[in-house]
Amino acid sequence: MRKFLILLIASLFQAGMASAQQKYIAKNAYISFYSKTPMEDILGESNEAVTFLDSGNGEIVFAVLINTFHFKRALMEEHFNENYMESAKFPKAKFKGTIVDFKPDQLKSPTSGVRISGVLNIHGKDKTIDVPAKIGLENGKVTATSTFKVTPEDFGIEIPNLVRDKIAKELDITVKTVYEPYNP
Amino acid sequence: MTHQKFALGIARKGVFFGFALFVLAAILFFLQQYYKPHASIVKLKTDFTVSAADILSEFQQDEATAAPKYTDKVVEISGTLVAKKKTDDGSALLILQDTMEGISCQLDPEWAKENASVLDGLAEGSPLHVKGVCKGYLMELKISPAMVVTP
Repeated sequence: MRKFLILLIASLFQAGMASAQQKYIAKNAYISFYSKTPMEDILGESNEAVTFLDSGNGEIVFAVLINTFHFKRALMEEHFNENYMESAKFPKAKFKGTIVDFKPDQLKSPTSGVRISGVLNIHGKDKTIDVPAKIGLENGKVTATSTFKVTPEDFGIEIPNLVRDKIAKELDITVKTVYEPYNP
Repeated sequence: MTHQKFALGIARKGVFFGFALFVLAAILFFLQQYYKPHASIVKLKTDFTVSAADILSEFQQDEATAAPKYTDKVVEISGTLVAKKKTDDGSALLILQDTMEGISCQLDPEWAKENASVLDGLAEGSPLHVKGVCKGYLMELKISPAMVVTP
């Protein structure tokens, strides 16, 4: 009986540990960037980003293949990949960071506002960012959304003068992720 | 009007029309480029025909070599369908080999709409032959847009 109790407590403890360190994954997360100018509106969208969330420490990893961004016009897609992002040379954009003042309970309650800070790597260049986000349960699933701005020049992306008026100085990035528990 | 002046006038008109034609051609070319549609996966020529197991192991063993070889190329892959899924925005996904680290084929929306019966007929666990554009490796091999090749 004592053995059984010890075993029970040990297994409960282990289960508790496991759930505290639950990892979450999404392999078809949504990310878009939007550029609005009086001359032209440009929207690029990908639903193939991959992201991990660690419920133990609030760490978030997010990555996307640049060539999965899709545009209304084929020519925009070509220019985006070849002229600006140089996706053959820099195929991935990555972010690694943590939810600021993270508490594991945040993932068990309805979505609430948080800040996420970390390093964003685009076009082979790192930049530390701190952005607002919403994270928590939505329809029973851990969901995260964020909208923030980036400046192409911060990542060494040069925009020729000829088209400078067609591309906004700051681009709006929108991210939306519905996570699934990850059990490798 | 002397003959000479007349000839000069015609030559000038010729130059003018030539120039106008050139400008028109340039505008047409620009518009055609600007509005050119996305390439249809059905019509694209296949660059590589491989088995799912082979292309996966190429990427998993040496991504630095496999990525430049296959990225943005049209590949035909035969493997085993392990899952049929939908993205949050409703695109159909066919997963080959492994649900976590396999090959994720995002179907061309036009193709999927026109071939709903082909999709309904696909059973998990059965062999599958797909054609699509290889986008690279991120936790899994991403193929999009893709279509099912029926015998």
